[in-house]
Amino acid sequence: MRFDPAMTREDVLAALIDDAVDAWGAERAATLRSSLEGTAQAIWTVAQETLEPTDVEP
Amino acid sequence: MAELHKLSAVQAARQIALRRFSPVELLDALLARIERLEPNLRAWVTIDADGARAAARDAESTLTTRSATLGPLHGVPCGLKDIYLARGLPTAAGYGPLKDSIAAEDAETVSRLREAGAIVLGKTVTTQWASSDPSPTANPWHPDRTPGGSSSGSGAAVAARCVPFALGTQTGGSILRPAAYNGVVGLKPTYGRVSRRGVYPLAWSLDHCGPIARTVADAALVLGVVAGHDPADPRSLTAPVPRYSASLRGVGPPTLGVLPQFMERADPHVRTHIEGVIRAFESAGATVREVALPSPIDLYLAAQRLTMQAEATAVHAAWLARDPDPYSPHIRAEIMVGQLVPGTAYLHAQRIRRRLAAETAAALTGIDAFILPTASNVAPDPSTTGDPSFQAPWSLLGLPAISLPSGLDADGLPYGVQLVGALLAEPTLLKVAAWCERLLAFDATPPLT
Repeated sequence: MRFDPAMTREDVLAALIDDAVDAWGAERAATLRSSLEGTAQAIWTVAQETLEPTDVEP
Repeated sequence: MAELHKLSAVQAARQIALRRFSPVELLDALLARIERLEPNLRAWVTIDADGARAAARDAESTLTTRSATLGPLHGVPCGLKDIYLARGLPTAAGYGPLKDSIAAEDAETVSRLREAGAIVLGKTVTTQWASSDPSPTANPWHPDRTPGGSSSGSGAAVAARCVPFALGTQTGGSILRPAAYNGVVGLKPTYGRVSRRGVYPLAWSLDHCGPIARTVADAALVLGVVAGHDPADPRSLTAPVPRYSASLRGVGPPTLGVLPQFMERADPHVRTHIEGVIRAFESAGATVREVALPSPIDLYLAAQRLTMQAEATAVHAAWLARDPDPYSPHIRAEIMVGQLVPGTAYLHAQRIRRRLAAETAAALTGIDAFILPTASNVAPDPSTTGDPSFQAPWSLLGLPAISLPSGLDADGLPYGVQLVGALLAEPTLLKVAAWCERLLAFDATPPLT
């Protein structure tokens, strides 16, 4: 998936699910639902915080 | 001597130094208690009765030399969460394939404890890899509630008076939450204050080592022993170690900052309880003011989650690929999903982390500590290790935090009040905690027969 602040929470989750199916297969990806949802929420939350190039470094 | 198991570490060390009883008598009292309670408590992975007895005899023998210099924990038994290496003992980290893995050397913290005279009684139960899959340990206050995690056994064993103190670790909330759910004191020091060498990692930049004990004085004593620079830990701080125990003397009323964002998220009865605690502190002279954090809690939690997941994935992905079956469901899922997260998201979280650190440090200006519930709830059912959202922000920022037992709910489950200080401000934090502890006067014990 891409890291794109313009993506909605649902977009992020859908992209993660697609990647999980590609990586692990549909059956195993289904067992990851709770982790996928938590991760999508976290990615979306941090993505809403705009940081300029000259803002803090990691 | 039937009550030796009730002694705190400070009391035990003092009385041993005065030759009131021998380390062997103390150890035997604790072993007898463990033998009686352990079938239901399930707090220990390994009890090293022979090794501990040999160490206790050595400690006893030292006492016969009048001029002997005794360490501050001379003859005092302790427990180690089973992710700390201890020479000659297995360290499994809750992971089946490691159950017979015998450590060739001590973790730095364990080495410092032994140097101070402490006796390693055994290894306490951890959730697998110190993550969130529940452990088999029971909460001593209620057998159908979780003791919290990941330092489940350390919290339960200390609460059950099986050992005066134990070491835990915290990456999200794994020292403070078990402390709160078990009605004991948990101290998560500043990141880098205590060496992580010889402790299995979960997430390098978030992992903290610290004590679970029954009093603030014990937590201060143990911190004073295990804190200090370790060149073998790349994140170890070089700042000198203050005399934490001395900082507890002459304590006056503190200035506390209440964080409304956390109070609003707490279960209603937890909020009511902590509001009562804060009013009592105010009545006793504390200055209390509301402090608003500029960023929402959810941002702290998102950054912490992405950091923990990415680093745990880096730690475990190769082992998981090689042999997935021994991994417990939650951590396995996190590592699998962690491999899908873009590196950009992790780095963005690290930039936000730095910004949050600056904002939070500014919010701590002019106060001694934040005050908030340690957890949003009391110990829930054992299908979970509980809610980390009130502890994880301080792990993310490396700030020192301490949990004190503050009362019991209607079902007899402990409440915990949390204090959070500035980086390396443990002397102030412990001073405030000692003042609060005196007012709280919590003296309840679990209903164990």
